[in-house]
Amino acid sequence: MGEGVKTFDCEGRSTREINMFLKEAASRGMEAEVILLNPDSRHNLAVGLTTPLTIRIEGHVGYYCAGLCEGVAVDVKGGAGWGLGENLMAGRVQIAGSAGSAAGATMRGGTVIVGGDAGARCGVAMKGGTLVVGGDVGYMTGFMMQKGVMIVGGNAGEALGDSLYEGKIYIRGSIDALGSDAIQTDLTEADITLLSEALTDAGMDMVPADFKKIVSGKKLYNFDKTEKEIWKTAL
Amino acid sequence: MCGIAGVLHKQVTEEPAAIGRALLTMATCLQHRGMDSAGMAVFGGANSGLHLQVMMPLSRPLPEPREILDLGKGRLSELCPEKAGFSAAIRPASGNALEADLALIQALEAGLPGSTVSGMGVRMTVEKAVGLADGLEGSVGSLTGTHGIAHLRLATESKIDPAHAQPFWGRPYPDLAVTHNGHITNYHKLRLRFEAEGFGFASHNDSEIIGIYLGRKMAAGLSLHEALAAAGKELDGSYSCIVATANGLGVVRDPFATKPLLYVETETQVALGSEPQALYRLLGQDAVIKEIKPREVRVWERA
Repeated sequence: MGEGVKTFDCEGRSTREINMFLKEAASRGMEAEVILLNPDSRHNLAVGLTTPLTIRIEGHVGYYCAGLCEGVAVDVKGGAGWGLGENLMAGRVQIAGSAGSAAGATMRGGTVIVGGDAGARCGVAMKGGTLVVGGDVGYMTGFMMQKGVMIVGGNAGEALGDSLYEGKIYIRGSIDALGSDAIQTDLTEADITLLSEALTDAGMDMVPADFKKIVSGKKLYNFDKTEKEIWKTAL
Repeated sequence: MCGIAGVLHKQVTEEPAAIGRALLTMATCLQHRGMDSAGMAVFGGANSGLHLQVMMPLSRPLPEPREILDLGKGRLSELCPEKAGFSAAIRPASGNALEADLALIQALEAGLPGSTVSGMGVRMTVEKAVGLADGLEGSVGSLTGTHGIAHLRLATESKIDPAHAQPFWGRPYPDLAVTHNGHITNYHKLRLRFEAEGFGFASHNDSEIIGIYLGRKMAAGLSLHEALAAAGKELDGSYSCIVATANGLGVVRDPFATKPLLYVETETQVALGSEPQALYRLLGQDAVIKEIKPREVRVWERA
């Protein structure tokens, strides 16, 4: 192990102790990497860190990992539960395995990368940043998305991009059903460049031209309550 | 919240599996999801014939055996005192089994104040108690068999006592139990309908409706898979359920899927749980965890 790398064994320690250790390491402005051993799928690991810190987690994590963070770089060598990287402001959260529901929910900046599949409500109410999922995403992915970029290497469940305002969803596989006011549009040169860079950054070997682009149809921008058809399809 | 778990050994082996131990292992990992009460239903070998279990409040002395046998009107035998109640063998009913079993349950619960018939079956043993899962160590820890389900309750409505704890037996159908995370919002409507048909309830917990619903469907000729698919359409609310029958396990999840349910399937077994750590603890960190999808129905029956 290199100099400056600090290892912390989670076994037998409370979640609060682990997070205090991380907070302290972050407050010291540690340039080096911090490694967590034996995370044992526990919840709320590496949450609320608002100063830069590089964290490698050797195993699976539970719910809300790396939530409410700004400027961290979290690399999970396993899977995650619900709410991965929730409300991330800036930084990078990457997991090798699959994530539960609501990965990258309400994120405002930074990058969240899921190597495997993600569950339902992935990137719900995203307000910025980039969310990349190598595999499939569950239903209601990108619901009420307001800004940012979502890239899905696999298939999507029902109601993809339902009621999204802004932002872009790129998807390579099939879509069970598009959500209200989500429409498919053509890829531009700028999209290809964006995809190419994001996929390379995420370490995913996929061809940008294979992706479809989903954006807002903007019909719900001016909701006309007298329009019966809208009531039928809007949530 | 609430935590649910299940385990099934798929193949017939000579040695019964340590199902009670497996459920306790998973329940310990899910303890934080519900600390009000815990319960398990374990399906053992077909050895004892039809029997039922009655839970009694610990504060009350057990009634005289004669009193219990009289309430059973000749159908009960082999009374056996348990930690909090008793079990008894049941002779098959002559005539309509459904009506006779409902009448037997009603007679026992009316005749023994505070009692609850918590389960009935050839293979099923139901144990539940107020408090944490490790409180079940003594009653469940050594139970072996082929499969079982567990529940950790966080009560959001109805009383906290053993009668309101899960798993719920699908009374009066033998060898049928359900563990449920969520709420059934059309419970009252369904309960009124089922009560009008003569079904009885042990609690005011909405989860109890599920087992009765499924039992009723299967008695009408539906397979477990079909009954679960019907439940997915007819039950309102949020639910991730695991149901156990004499032959195996089934699951159903509501369309919004706000209550988690994950599973791991290997060559020899299937394990289900609300959160990943329960599955990793049971099957190792390399286990490949999958999610039961919204609206999904899945059944594993033993070969």
